[in-house]
Formats: sequence, structure tokens, C-alpha cells
Amino acid sequence: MVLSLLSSKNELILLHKTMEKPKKAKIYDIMLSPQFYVIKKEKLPVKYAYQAKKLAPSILDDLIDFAGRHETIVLKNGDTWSFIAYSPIEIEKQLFKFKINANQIGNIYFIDQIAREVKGSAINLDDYNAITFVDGYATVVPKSMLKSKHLIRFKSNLRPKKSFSYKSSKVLRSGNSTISTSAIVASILIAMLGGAFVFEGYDYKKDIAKKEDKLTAILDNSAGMGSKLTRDSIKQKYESKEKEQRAIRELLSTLSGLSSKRSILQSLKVDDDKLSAVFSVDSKEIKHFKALASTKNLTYKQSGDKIRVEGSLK
Amino acid sequence: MSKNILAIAIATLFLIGSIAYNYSARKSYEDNLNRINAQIDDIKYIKNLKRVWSVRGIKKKINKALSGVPAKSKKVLIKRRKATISLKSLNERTLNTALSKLASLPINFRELKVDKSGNSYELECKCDW
Repeated sequence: MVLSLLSSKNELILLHKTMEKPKKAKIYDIMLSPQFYVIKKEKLPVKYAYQAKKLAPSILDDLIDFAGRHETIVLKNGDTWSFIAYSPIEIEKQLFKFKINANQIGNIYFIDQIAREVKGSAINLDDYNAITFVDGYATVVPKSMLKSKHLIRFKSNLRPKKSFSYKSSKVLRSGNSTISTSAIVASILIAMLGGAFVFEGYDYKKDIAKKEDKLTAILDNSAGMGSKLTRDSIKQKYESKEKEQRAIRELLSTLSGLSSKRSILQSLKVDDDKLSAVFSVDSKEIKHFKALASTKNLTYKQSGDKIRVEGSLK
Repeated sequence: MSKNILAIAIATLFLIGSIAYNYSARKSYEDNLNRINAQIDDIKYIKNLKRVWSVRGIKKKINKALSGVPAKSKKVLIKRRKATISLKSLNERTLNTALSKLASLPINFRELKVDKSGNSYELECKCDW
């Protein structure tokens, strides 16, 4: 139960079984006649509304069948608790006669709330019936029984201060037969997350298809390279050649770096696995020449002014 | 089972399915990508090797590399895919030029010999391709 903190400006109608079609409005606040709720007042040693509400089914047990769907409300007035139960389905059935849907119901009130305002008068319902208060309970009685009572018309100025938010039958049923909005939102969010995963997965597949196309195009332009065996065989052929011949060229370049006016090449020879060269080196240059040869990973052997350097081709 | 739970359960099942699909697609993507990239790299590498060691017009290239050597000092014999080169009376500069130009060609040096005789050099080379 939620008390409305804001004053309502919706059209206030008195709901009873012989009512006429109300004025057209977007949202209706409903004053329920005793035909649509039951009330029982009890003095109980409970302090809080939630405690009282727990007792509501047992208090109202002899008045309503809780197997049918009812919404209960508790109100405290001094030491006395008022236990009210209403059937949203009954209310909606009545309103549906005037093509008013449950979602057009704003706040609800109970005619028992205006017992003091009405005092000794009775509220006119139709040609035959009126609502009066008997032992503090609002009751529908034939007008013929009210000879002495003053009849008043129900007006919007009889709106009680306390209002109650209406719990529609759809909300009541949502526990087991209707999908709630939050469940729908949660399902949609989960499904959207799932959708994102599917989309990403699909994107992977699309991307790989593009790469496959690129590979096919490359293979089309590279005759004879479709098979891995062929490619390995070509690689093997070129790599052995590449390794040995690149080593020869690198050593030739290194020897060229060793050659100068003071270190003159005398001979050079490429064998199966090594390249050797003999330099005639000036005595002042020998130390520097040897140091340079060492940094180039060459082995050397001196014999007089001649130095023989060797580099491996393997 | 209430419709709320059913709706969320269906959505969750869909989510689990889509995560599984995403995982398998991603795994397959990674495997395929590695395979494709490896093939492309392989082909590029082989093409590069072929380009570096291309022997198209090699005879002309050998003659051009030795164009700086006077005709009387050189003897070049090219037969099929083999060449025998003999250069004589080379100064240091000519030897360097000839040797570096030959080294820049995609030929296999089978034999290479350089000797200094007096102030000049002699070069003998056997190569193929």
C-alpha cells in the first residue's frame, strides 16, 4: 500500500453497481462504495502496519475467500485497526462497462474514510438506495429505511486526504500468469546482450571469409604455391642457396673493410666451407688489423708481415 | 513455472547459446587467421626469395658487371647455366668493382680465387645459377 503524497486532480467517481456512465476523463480516482470492499475494525496490540497486514487474512477470513484475488489495506485510527479488502477484478469489471480500463485508475478511496464528513447524512446512490453509516460502517440501504436522514449527493469535495494507489488485477496476476514489465525489460536486456555476442560471432565469420578471399586471390596469382609441400620444397631449395651465398657476400664485404693502403690483399680463396684471404700488413697496422679481424669474427694467423684471415661459410 | 521466469530463462538460454557461438566463432577465426596469415607470409617470403635469386637475363648482367674490365684482360665463358670467368692485370680498384658487381648478381660462387702478382691482381671464378 502506498499513500499518495500529492493531491490528485483526477476525476473522482463513486463506484457502485447502479452508477451511471461517468464524465469522460483520462484518469479516474475511484471512491469505492461498500459493494466493492469489505471492512472490519479490530482493536489489536500491534504497532506497525506491516504487522497488521500480516494478520489481515485471518481477520477477514470469515468475510472473503482469499482464494479469490483480493488486495488488503490496513488503516490505523487510535487503537483500532481497519482491515479492508477489495477485489480489483470486480472493480475492473464494473468500470469496463463504461469502457474504462485498469490503467485509467489513479488513486482509490473507501467511503468509510468519509464517515465524519458525512455525519448523520446519507449519500444518494440511485432511486432506491443510499449509503449510510451503521455502527461506524458504511452500508448500502434502501432509501425507504432513511426517512429521517438527510440525503446528499456525492461530490469531489468529499475526497479524503489519504489516498491509496490502485493495484490492478493484472499486477496481482503477474506472479503466475502475466509477464511483468521488469521481467520483459530484463529478458530484452539479456537477449540484447546475447544478440551482441551473435553479431560479434557473425562478424568474425564475415571477416575470415574476406581473408579467405584475399588468400585465394594471392594463390591465383602464385601458380604452383597452393600446396604446402610445394612451398616447402621451393623454400628449401632457395634457403640453402641463400644461406651459403649470402655468407660469401658478407665475408667479401668484411674483407673489403679490412683492406687499406697499409693492409693489402695478397690472395683470396673460397673453399667449400670457408673463405680465406692473405693480407700484407704494415708493421704499425698489425695490432689494429688483428683487432678489427676479431670484431668481424674472423680467425687470423700471422706469419711475418703476412696475416691469413679465415671466415666460416656455415 | 511463471511466465516471468520462463521469459528470463529463455533469454538466458539464448545468451548462453550466443556466448558459445561467439566463443566457437572466435576460436575458429583465430585458427583460420593464423593459418591464412602463415600461408600469405610463406608465399610472400618465397616470392621475395624468387625475386632476389631471379636468373632472368643473367648472361647480360654478368657481361655488364665486367664491362669496366678491358677486353684483353678478361675471358668469360658462359655455357648453359655455368660461367667461368678469368680476369688478369687488374688494379685494386678494378678488382674491387668487378668483385662487388659479381657479388650483387644472383649467382652461386662455386670457386673464387684472387691472387696478387706484382702490382696487379688475377681473378678466377666459376659460378652457376
